[in-house]
Amino acid sequence: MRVIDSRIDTGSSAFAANAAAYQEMVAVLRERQGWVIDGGEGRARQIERHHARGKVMVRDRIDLVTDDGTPFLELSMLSGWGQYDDAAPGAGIVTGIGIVGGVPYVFIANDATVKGGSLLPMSIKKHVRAQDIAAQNDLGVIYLVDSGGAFLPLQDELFPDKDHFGGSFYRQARLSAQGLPQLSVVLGGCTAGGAYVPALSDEVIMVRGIGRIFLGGPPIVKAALGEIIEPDDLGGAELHTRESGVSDHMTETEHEAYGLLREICETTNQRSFDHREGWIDWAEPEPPAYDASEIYGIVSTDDRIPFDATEIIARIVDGSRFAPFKPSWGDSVVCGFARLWGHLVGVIANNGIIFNESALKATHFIELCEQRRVPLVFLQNTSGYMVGRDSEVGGIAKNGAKMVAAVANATVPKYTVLIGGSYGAGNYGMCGRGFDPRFLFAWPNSRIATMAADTAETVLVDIRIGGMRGSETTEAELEAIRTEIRQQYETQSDPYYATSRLWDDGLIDPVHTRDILGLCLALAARQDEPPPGPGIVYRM
Amino acid sequence: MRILIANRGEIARRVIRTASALGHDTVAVYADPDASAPHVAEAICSYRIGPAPLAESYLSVERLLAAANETGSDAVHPGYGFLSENAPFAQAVLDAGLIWIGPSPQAITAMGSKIEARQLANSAGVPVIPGFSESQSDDDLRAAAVDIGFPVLIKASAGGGGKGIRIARSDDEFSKALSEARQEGERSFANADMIVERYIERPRHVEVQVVGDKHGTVIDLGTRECSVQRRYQKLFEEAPAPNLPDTTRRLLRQSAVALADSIGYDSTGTVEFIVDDDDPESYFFLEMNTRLQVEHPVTELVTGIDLVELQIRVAAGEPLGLAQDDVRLSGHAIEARINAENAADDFAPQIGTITHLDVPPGCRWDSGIEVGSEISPHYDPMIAKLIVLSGDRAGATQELADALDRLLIGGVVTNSGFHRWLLDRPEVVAGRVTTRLLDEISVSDNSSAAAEVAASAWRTEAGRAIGSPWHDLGPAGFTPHQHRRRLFLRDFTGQVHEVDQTSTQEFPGASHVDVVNRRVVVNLSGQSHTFQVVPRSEHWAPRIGSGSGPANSVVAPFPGVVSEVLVESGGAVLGGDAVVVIEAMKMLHTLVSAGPGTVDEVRVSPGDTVMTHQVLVTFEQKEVD
Repeated sequence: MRVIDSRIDTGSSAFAANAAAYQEMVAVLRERQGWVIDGGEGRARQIERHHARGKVMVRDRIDLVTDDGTPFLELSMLSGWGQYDDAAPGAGIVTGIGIVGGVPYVFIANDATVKGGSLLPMSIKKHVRAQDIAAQNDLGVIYLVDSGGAFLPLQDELFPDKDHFGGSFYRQARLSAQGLPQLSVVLGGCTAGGAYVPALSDEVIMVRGIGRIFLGGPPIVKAALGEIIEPDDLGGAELHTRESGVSDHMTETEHEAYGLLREICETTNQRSFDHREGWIDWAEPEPPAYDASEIYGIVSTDDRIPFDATEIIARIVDGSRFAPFKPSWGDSVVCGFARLWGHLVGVIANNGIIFNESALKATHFIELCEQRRVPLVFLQNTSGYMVGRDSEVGGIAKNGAKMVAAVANATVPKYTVLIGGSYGAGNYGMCGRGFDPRFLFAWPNSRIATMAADTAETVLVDIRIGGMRGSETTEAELEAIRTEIRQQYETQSDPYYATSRLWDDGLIDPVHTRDILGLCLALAARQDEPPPGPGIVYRM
Repeated sequence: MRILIANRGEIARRVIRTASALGHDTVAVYADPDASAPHVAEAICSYRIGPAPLAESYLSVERLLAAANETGSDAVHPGYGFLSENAPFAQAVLDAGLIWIGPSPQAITAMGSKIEARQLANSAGVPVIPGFSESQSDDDLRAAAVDIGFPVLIKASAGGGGKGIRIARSDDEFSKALSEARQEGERSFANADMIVERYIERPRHVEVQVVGDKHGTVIDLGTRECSVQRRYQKLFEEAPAPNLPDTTRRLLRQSAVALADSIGYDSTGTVEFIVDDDDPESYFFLEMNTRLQVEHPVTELVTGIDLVELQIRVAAGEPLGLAQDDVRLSGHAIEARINAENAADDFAPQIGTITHLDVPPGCRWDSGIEVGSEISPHYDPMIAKLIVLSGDRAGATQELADALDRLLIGGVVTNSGFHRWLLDRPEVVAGRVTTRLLDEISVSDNSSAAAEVAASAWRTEAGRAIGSPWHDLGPAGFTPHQHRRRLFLRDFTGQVHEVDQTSTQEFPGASHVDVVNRRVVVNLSGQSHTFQVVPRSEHWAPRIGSGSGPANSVVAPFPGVVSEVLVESGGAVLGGDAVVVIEAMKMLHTLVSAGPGTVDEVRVSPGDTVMTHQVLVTFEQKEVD
């Protein structure tokens, strides 16, 4: 593979202005992530109370379990951002992937300093998403349970539907059946539905004094039976480990529990990482030849000014080396092979609009990667498929559909990063959330919507005017409509709006893109090769 | 010529090296613990002389002679220590018709008695320290002490190695000091004869290497300073001795040659002197060692002369072939004795297996160890010598410091860190050391700092072996969360150090990470520390089973041989009472009771070999209210 020859002038004033603006965006991201860790109104008091009970903060708990000197890939950290009166940092739950004894596990850990660890609709969505990641990547799950149960005022949004609370237990049982260890440490209350998290686990540790499990807590027992009972007498560690057998192990402290949990993980007989045995072609990793932080200066502060996807690829892939596919045809989509942390991947990246040729080229390349069993990485920055008579005559609808169908049917692992716009059907063809990429991350400059706010304004105002045919519309009324539509689109295409709702697995700093994709690919490399779907390479 | 080396360890290897280079056959002898020692492998042939106890192996004249006979040896080299200054052995070798590579038995005998040596020195016109040994009655010795003036030194006539030596600072202290010295002399040398002499407050130990042949030639090969001593054991030796007035240096060398000449000395030997640092013009004869010295390499480096070669040649009757004027001294050499002992624990001898060994290049490394060598309690704790040569003294101390920083010995604690610390003492820097320097020192234990360094080395290396971004990335920094993962490292004492990820630090020293065995060796301030990485599962998870051995007992802190049992079953003890004395690495260690109680069971008797943590004596359990 050849080293990409970057054309970026890092000394230009535009570059400097872009870089400064992007660094500001990254600072905001980190500030908001910090808010999730220990911010929010009244959180300090919650944290103080948590510590006073001798309990460890949720992320520190994960550190106590995971291997020294390894990363923790926290997912959807900003879930719930801007929702629930801004009172639920991270939706009160931490999910992510960490290493225990050399083996990756998904962690699902309640944050009891956020609404007592109660599960909000977004908490459930995050919980379920983490389990889906476990299923797709063959990962065991470690549940660090410290939750007050479902957040009852919003029970209609989290209890009854397919992927609601019940779906999490369905998944837990299925994951266990898939041979993926389900391990729980009970560090707080597990009431009602919550009781099933440990109860459905393969092995359970309870920490004496803080861990409790009961189908009905003391208030319910009082209401139902008139009994007044102390929580530990109803469902403490002692009771469940020595009498009911709901729990398998009891420890005096959290530290003991994590030591024991690590010992249990030594006995799960799960695969660790060994790229030599992996099915994905691997070479010694090599950092990119260009500094990843130059991405800050490449991405324009004005999202109408395009940037060259090749320049981004140069700052993400190993050694900035790239083997482009059909470089002289359909060049609004850049396709080619590269390596990420040693793993061979097929990269598909947009340079704005997807034309007929671009769609066909992308389809061809997807088919190629599918045939060669090469994982796909999508770097989305598209305003969508081309409109207009020429495009329609060219068959953009069927050509776009070919790309969408190819993506939908590709069985190799797919990974998507929103590096710019993700508009319209471009989102589909470029493996948006609906197309089940293994992971989907977004940069803080990204935008996701059916169309850009400017376009929406024009289109929707015309439709409104059409609907109001016959009646007088003043310029002031039109302006009000315009403003309303623009505001709706701007708000809803904001990446924080998206990540808050789990449309992605998290916002990431562009400089971490290579590392995070590398981590994700290493997970896939440790699995068996996925069986290919039916398909051959068509020339289109 | 076939040469049997009646010794072990580094000196056996040293002799084999030169003997082989001269084209001689070499025969190694070994006791059972040394069966796979490097010196055995390096000799042309080897011979088992007996089990571990010295009297049945390296100190057995009978077995060594049998070995020489059965291997068809022509000559015996005694090395140093063991039987190297044992005249009957030398005589027995000669009587067996073999060549004794050492001085004549007469010379050994003459210098073996401190009293006779003093008289010989006197006759040769060599100044001796004012002293008395003409009578051995307590009263006469005491009168002599008063005469000489306090403080006085009382030392065993047959002594050496710091045994049987006491200082009496006043008349009141004299009787006790004398009786202690006599006891120790009796125990160590089967000889309670004592010398009383003037005690010099700021003494320097300066010695002169001499060599003579059977044709009447005796020359000297310059001075050495060996003032850095701990409990009369030399730690650093350098050549030439620094900061001596020219006249003193000249007189020392002349005196040494005069004394050796007076007894027709015909091998390598060392004449030791005390130089009074308060008055460097005055020097006194101390003793003459009729053998090759441990510190001979520093003389070899500054003279370019192979002393073992000279020994072999002159023993074979060849003339020295070297006149005094041929001896040219150039540069400055320093030797550091690497002992398996823990400076932070009162220099307690250490045992273990050498798991890792990195010797810095550009130094002379005379050692008896290799990776896999067992450091056993049977022998001297000196395992190696690190020797450097430079143009001048400042260069040599710098080079030694650098070498100690890079020397990495895994598996056993050594005094190399203590040496590194010593090199920074102003007295050592200035070359103005007296033998009292280390009388009052305490060495701090830097194992906590070393644990941080080890954690950093482990974190760097442990992940690399796996080859995945999940390990290569380290903790990454995807979010502002500060990872606070802990690493547990167990040091050789069993203490577990907890190291937080936030304290990860860069360090310049040498390190070795053994990922498979979860072991880390780091060198901090010259000290090699060996840590075992303890899994969190092991460190945190609750203990399985209950109890941790009898609390009310005395256990062996290290392996050794029981020398004395001072209690019997049913006997009452107070806290701190001596219970058992064990001998390890040639030192006696008294084990005491932790509190008052009644002895329940005595599980060992004198002569028993005991292992670390072995229960020796138990006490009756008291009922807890």
